[in-house]
Amino acid sequence: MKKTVICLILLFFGMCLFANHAAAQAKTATGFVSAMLNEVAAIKDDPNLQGREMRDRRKELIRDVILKNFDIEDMAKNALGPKQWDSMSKEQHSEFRTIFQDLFLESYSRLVLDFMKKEQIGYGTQEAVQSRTVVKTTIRRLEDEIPVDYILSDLRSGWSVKDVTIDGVSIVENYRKSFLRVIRQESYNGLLKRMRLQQKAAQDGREK
Amino acid sequence: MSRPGRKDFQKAMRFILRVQISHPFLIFVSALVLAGLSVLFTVTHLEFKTSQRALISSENRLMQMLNVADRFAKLDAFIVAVENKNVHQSLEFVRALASRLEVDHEHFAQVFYRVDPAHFKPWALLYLKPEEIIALCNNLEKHELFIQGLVRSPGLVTFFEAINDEMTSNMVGELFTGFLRPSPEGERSEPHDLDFLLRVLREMKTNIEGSPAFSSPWSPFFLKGGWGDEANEGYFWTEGKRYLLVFVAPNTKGAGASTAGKALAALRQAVSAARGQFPDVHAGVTGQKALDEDEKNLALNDISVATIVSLIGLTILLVFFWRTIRRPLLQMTTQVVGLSLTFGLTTLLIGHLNLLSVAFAPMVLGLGIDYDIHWFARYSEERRRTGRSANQALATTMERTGPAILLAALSTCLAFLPLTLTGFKGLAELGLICGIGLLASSITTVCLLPALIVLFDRPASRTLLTDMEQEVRPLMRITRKRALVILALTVVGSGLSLWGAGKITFDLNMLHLQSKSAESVEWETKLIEGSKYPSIYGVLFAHSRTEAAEKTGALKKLNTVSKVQSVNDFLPSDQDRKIPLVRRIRPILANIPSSFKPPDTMDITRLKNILSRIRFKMEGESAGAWGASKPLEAQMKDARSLISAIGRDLRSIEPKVLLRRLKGFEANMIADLNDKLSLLRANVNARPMEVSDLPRPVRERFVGPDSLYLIRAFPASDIWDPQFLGDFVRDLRSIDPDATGDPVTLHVFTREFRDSSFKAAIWAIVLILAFLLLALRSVVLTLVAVAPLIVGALLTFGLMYLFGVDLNLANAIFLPLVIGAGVEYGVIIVQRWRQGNAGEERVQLPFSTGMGILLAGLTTTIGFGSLMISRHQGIYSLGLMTTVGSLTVLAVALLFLPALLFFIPGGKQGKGSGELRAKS
Repeated sequence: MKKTVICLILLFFGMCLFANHAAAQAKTATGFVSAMLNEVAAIKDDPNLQGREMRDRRKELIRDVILKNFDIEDMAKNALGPKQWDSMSKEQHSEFRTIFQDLFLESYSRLVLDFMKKEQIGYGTQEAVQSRTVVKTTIRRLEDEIPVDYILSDLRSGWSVKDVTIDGVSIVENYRKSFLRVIRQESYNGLLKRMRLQQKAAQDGREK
Repeated sequence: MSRPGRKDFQKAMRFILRVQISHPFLIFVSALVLAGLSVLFTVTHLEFKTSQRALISSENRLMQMLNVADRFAKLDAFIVAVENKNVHQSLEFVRALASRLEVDHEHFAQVFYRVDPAHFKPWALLYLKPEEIIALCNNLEKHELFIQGLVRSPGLVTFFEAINDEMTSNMVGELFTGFLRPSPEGERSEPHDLDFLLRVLREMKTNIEGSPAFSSPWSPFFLKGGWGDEANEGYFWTEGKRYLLVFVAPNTKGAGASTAGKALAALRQAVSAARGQFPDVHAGVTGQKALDEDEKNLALNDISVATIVSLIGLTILLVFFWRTIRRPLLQMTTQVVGLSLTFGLTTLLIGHLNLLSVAFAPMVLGLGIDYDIHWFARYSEERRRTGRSANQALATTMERTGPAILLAALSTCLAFLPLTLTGFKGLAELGLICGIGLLASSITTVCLLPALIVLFDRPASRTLLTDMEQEVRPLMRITRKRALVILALTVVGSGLSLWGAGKITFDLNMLHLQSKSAESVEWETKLIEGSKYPSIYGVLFAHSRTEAAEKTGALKKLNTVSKVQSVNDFLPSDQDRKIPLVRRIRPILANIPSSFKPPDTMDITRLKNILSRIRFKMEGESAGAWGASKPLEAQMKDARSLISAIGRDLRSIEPKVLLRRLKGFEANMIADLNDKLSLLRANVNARPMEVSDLPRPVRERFVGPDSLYLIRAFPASDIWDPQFLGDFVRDLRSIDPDATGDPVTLHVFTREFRDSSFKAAIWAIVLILAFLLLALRSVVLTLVAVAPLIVGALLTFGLMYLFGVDLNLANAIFLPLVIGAGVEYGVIIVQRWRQGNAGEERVQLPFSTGMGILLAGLTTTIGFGSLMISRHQGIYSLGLMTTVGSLTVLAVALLFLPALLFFIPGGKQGKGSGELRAKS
């Protein structure tokens, strides 16, 4: 009995250790990114979700993964730039965030579905840059590879992706430049109008 | 001899004979001295004006305009055409040739083979269309960061990194913010153009594999379509790059045709030497001056050979007929003296020979020798038939045939002299020279031949012309039946000929006259057929650039004009509008350092890595990420294979060699970028381009003194086709009545020549009729005397139609020649017929006279027929026509005229007849 109790205690501690290790693993930035990418890969590889007719379903599931792991509100704010963001009302923030989220989810899920196929993901170093952590990964195809860096923040709720840099080009930075150009050439309302049009086009596409 | 005029004339003839008989040697030596002096004067003073323009009076308004145009056109006198089979080789050939020609100042005043693009660099952007300048500006804005980044850190690795960044930005931008692209709604996105990348990769591969050649990849990067390869720009290509041209101006400081001739020979020698270096290149010389020179040389050469051939032929013929060498030699002596005098008088009165009159010698020789023949024929007859002494025979011949010869010569002169009334300088001079020549020939026959006979003649025991018969026998016995048959056949033949003559056309194509084997003709034809680029063009003048632009605009609307060139074509258009557009580039360039150079080292691992990243995006798997801006599949495939090939090179080439080559390529790339940015910098500050900014060879060709602007109008079709030429000239004159240039001259020249030839022929017939009417005082006999020329000319036209020979600018002058021969035979036969004969039976054509005419006809035929050896197609056709014409006239004179005379009452029984009977 005593032996049994000792075994059970050991098993308990062992399980606790395992659970701790798994939790610790998930709590590192690299682990977080790895888990996210694995989740995406699982969706893409799921035999039940193959074929053209399941594309929308796959996209939907991937959108969920993105939504869960990306700090879209922060991305929207950074994409618009502090000056423009600060000049807007809460309602405007909310409206912009909603449209931005739709557009980002649409674009990113398309990127994942069309671009990320059977590449090998390599995980490199994890670097702390100011308040953020950069997880360096590579996408390898045959003999060529490109770097993809994930910029994360450790929030109370856990890690959250703030930006992705594909071969040196930041997605948020790209948004900011493009948005600014339109605001400068037209106006914020002009930008919003174009974004709404694109949002509607994406919705129509999904409905079809 | 009832009329006092005739009496005086006979008295004069007797006096001339008396002097010759009493002082034959003095006459002979005097003639030789006079001939020698004439030759000497000719050799030292006679010029050759072989240009077609020398055929037209300089008083002519067109000629005055053409002389103005000449100040410009003389620079393109010679054109070297290079048949292009390989652009690089053709350019190398032209450079090699130009370097030879440029140092030969003795022969060449200017060699224009390229407008150096470097000269236009400060205004290069102003030559673009406004939309191209805007596109360039947009392109610079689009790539501003790329260029800035590269210039701040210049190098091959940073270049590919910047390319990759831009490519990735494009992909990311397309995917996430493509909907914000400022393209019009509904317009499809342009695929990302990999052209620049591919150019760089190709250049890089070629360079690291050892080639030192470098072709700018930056040019098309800035401007779609590129600025072209500057090293190979500015050359003169014909349409479709079929031919590469070099314009050469001969050094005319020495003046005169010989300078142009020597320059042409030197140019051909230089082309030949350059071909030694490039045996695969085919090149030749053409251009208006080359065509003129070739035509002149060929014509002079052919005429010289024809003259010798005709002299030899005539000698053989005469020896055969006279059965002695003496008489042909005597005849040749009188003819040479006559020709020498003609040359001397021509030099004195005209001073030069032109393209037409250069052929006068065989003509005068062919006709002039007839007078000697007629003289000898009668002289022989008199000596054989009557057994008189030489002096008595000479006296009878002088009295009876002398006037006939002079009458015939004057009549024949009248066939040529009307040419002087045509107003066409070329024909007028020919007419005058031939007239002088025939008079000189007939005068030497009358004034020198008797002296020569006294000195040298020993009649042969038997000749073909005279048998020892005591009576005058006819050449052909004419019966009523025969006469009727001949007349009927002649009438039928003439009727048919009249019908055929109406179908003969006049070929005005000057190129058809020249030798097809002449180099200039061969290359002119090639240029026209291969590229629709004739070496001649219409010329208009304007007194301001605005007027030049207006005329250019009007010319461009004409269907007959393919291309118009003026100084405005060399200056940028719409400069006021373009300069502000170019200024828009200035702020972009302000942020770019003006001097930069690559680093000393190169990280090859980093280079491999960045190429790998670029190739990653070229994979088909990446296609989705490009979105709407996905590059063309073929370009992606090319990029993949080029990067793979470069990768293999990077691994396989020995590191030191590889590094050296890579650094060399990098240096070229960066220097080229620096060069392009310098060009842009120079342009953004440029002032408007003026005429004075153009290179001198361009200005000299299009802008004259007093701001006279020249406009070139190139024909849209074959300029040598007379129909098109007429339309072309009419169109040019509708824009400017003072339009000039070689096509206009050609048009005016050909038509004036044709019309003048016909006019002169009609004038000749009218004048001959009037003259004969005056001399013979009988309408019937006048008509009979001109019958050989009228019927002969008509039948010649019939034969021309039968043989498919058309009239052209060269053979049109056969008419005076045939008329001359025809009237000569007619006059001789009619005069002889009037004098009667010794036979019981009326003889229309005595044997000696007939044989004399036969011999005269054959000598004329040989004289003209010798022209048929010519390679010059015009001279050949003249030879052919005159041969056919003289044989026809001869046949008419020997057959038709006796048949006609059979029905004419009159023709007295001559003194000879009585004398003969008394003697017998």
